[in-house]
Amino acid sequence: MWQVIGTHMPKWNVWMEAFFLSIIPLIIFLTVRQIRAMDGRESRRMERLKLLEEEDRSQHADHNPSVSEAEKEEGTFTEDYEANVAKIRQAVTDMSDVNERSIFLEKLNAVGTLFFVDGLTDKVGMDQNILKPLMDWGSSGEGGEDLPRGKELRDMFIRQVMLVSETQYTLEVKFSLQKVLFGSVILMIQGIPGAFVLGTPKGSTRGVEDPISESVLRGPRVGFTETLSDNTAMLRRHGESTELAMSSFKVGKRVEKQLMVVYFRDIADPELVDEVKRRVKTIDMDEVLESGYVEQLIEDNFLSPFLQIQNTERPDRVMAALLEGRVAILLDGTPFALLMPVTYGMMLQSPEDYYERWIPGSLIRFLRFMATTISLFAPALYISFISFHPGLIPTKLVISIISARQGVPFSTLIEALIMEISIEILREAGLRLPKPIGPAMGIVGGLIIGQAAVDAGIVSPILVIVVAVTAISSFASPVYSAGISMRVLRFGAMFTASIFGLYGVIMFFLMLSIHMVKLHSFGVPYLSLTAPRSFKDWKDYFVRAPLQFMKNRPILLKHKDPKRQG
Amino acid sequence: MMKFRSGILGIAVLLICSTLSGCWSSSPVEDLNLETGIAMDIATESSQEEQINQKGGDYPKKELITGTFQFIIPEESGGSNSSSPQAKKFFNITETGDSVFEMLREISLRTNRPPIGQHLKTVIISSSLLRKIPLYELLDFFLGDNDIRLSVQLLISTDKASNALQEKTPGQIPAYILKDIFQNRKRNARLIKPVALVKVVGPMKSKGSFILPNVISTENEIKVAGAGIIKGKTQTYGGFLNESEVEGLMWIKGQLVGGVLKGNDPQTGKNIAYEIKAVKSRIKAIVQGDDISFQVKMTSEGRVSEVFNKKENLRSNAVLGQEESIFQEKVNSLAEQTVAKMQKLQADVGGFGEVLRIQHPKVWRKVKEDWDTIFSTIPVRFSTDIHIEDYGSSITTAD
Repeated sequence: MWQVIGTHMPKWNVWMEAFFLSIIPLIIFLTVRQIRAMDGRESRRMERLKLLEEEDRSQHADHNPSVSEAEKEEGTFTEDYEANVAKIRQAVTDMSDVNERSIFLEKLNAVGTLFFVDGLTDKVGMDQNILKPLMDWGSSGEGGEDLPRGKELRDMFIRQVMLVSETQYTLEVKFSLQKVLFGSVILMIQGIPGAFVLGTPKGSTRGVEDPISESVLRGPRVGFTETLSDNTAMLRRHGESTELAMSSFKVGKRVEKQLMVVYFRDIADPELVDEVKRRVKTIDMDEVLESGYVEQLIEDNFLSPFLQIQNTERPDRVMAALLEGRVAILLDGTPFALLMPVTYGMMLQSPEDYYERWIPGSLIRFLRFMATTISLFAPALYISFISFHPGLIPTKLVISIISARQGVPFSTLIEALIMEISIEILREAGLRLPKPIGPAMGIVGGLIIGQAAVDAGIVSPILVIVVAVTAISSFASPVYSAGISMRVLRFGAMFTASIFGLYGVIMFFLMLSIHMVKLHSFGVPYLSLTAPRSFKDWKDYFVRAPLQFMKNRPILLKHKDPKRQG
Repeated sequence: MMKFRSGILGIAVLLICSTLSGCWSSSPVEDLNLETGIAMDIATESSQEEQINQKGGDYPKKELITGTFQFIIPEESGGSNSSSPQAKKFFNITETGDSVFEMLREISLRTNRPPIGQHLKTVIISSSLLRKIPLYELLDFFLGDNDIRLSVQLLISTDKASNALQEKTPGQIPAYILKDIFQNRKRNARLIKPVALVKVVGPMKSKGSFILPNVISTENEIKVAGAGIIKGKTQTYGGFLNESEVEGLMWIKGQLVGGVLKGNDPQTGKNIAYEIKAVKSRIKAIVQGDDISFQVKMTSEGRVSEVFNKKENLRSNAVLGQEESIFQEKVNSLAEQTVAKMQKLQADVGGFGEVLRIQHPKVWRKVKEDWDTIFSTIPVRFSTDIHIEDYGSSITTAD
């Protein structure tokens, strides 16, 4: 028996191959673990949360135990009007965009000073609503024995004089400074100890436009803008609901920004909401420039090529997600809202699916599944068929492929890489180009380079077809960022295909599946509906069932109220 | 830092593995020679081979088989400037030897690219070679080779088999023409079902007789005409069924999918033609004591497509019945002719043995050893039922 086993032992090269094959996943596993260990994201999250809690506690416990009287003096306004004005002036020494305007109120026989910032303050509004009433009131009337003093005078000002809805009164220098630098107006009047903070910032905003990154033929032509208040208003304007909650957070250490966690109080899973809020609180960064920062800082697995938080420009999409029981994050200064959790299937859904009738909606959704597969595997399959398995190509096709590839000097991998990379460069260049040149660039790049490369015999015409189909398929993804990850993975598939052939493509697919099955987004498995499968939710997965059938919210998202229609 | 370094090392090893190990067993299609057809004849060396042998290019072998191997010449398509349309699309290499496998590998010394058999479509064996060498010896390589598919089609040639692989129609590959001819079975009743390699494995093992389509070639054309019989016991060539015998066989087997049945009206002496739409046949084995006999019932539906007799009134049911009976007789005579030939050649290729095996297994066990001889004495009766459904616009009157 031993002899038989001995004679059937594989040769050394088979052993080597097997060894490499087994060691590659091991190495990937170890590397990922190393990188994860170096990241230490979760432990840092906990640390920061503890720190925040401690801060809270210390604020509650006693107001300001450590701050000395002198420092406190420095940070607050006093009775002394001149000193107060000087404090502000001192604070804005290097900021020449802060303007100062002095007034005199005859009625009080007092001077006053207004501080405001050029460009941020709505000057017409300020003239109309602050200066004019102030002057009218100050010059009118006979004089002041019956006028109250101090606190009463302050309240009278707020109640009777100011024509501004947002009027605050403060004693803190820092707070008023923050406000004035963000576009409010500060008013200080002799005889009133603190300062009034009037109005809200009114910067120039972009009008509401059709969202560029996610355009639909049918559906609202409304996209988010950069202003947070506009965006929240857009969500509110969808309809009257008393349950749409928006909790505000401040993110950013040096430059503070407002961030809103939006959800339906009576739908969203409280645990999910708490988890989102917890993760948002741990953001500890100089400035959060875009919601992409938030996305990357709070997502589950930063090593994965797949995005685990969906971004969108469309308020209707956000609303639909909220009504499913998901949570949205809006950030000031960006038109991209974040939706979480997300599964892979959701990446292939477009709002249009629901606006059109269900049959075309289902068909198009199915096409998207195919397009994703094509964009991931088409060049890899081309490589493996051509260089490993010519028997799998139909005879007539193989003859034409052979004749097409006669003059090509490169191996299939190099050939495919040349075209793939030039397509990616083209795409990138097309994105950066000014709009009028864009189409011209497309023609030069796509048509001329493609044709010339074939004529010059650098690539074969069949490959140009494969690459073109792949490129088009990768743009069929309704979520642009999801398409990008497929494009990245495509290169991996191509390399494995060139080394191991179809076997390598299958291995690649298996590894990808393993990774995706393991991936979670805010507690929801990434491949939900397929694995773990839930047949009840399949009404909205491969097909888009008629709306009449979708009576319940998706089960995979735990929510308080399962019924969506009667 | 140590951890980081080991991570980097891991990535480096990964990259080295994948780049240095090279592309395992990669061989792009353009570096391969696609075999399309193989013809096997009795050894006659070509002039090329004689020259080679004279110059010392010889190796130890018995000269038994001459193989003609057909390969594709892909056109050089350099973009838009197309090559001339008359360019040959294939080339043949002839090699003589005693092992098909060795002959094929010997070709590697004569061409630059290795042949692959994944797109091999046709194998033609000359009947004279089959008289000398049994089929299983000739086909063993095709069954053993891991490249070649079991869907390869087998043909017999009463001519020199390699003639069938010569260029007949410019710009077409003969091996593929031979394969695609069988798509015309709807049009002709004299074309047997194509026989793939996988279909002969069973009969070869069980020592049953079977037929292979026969190809003859002229100077400018080929024709699939008749069929060659492979005798069960010896696996050698056992005879030839001509076209009308093949037609009869197809009726007996009920394997027709279309074609024409031509009859002659005895009253007028004119031809009438029946277009077959559907055929069913049922063979029944009747065993009485030691006597075995077969009853074949054939039914068919179709239309009258050609009636030379101008006065024929196709509206009348009597006329139609008359015509039907003409066709029925014709079918019966065709079938009888076929069975007579089969019994003469002592080869049951009509599947009668199979019917007996299924319907009377005990009887079959007794006779199966010597079935082909026993079959030659067994009476077979035929009955045909033809139904004319349609006669086209022949009955349209002038007004």
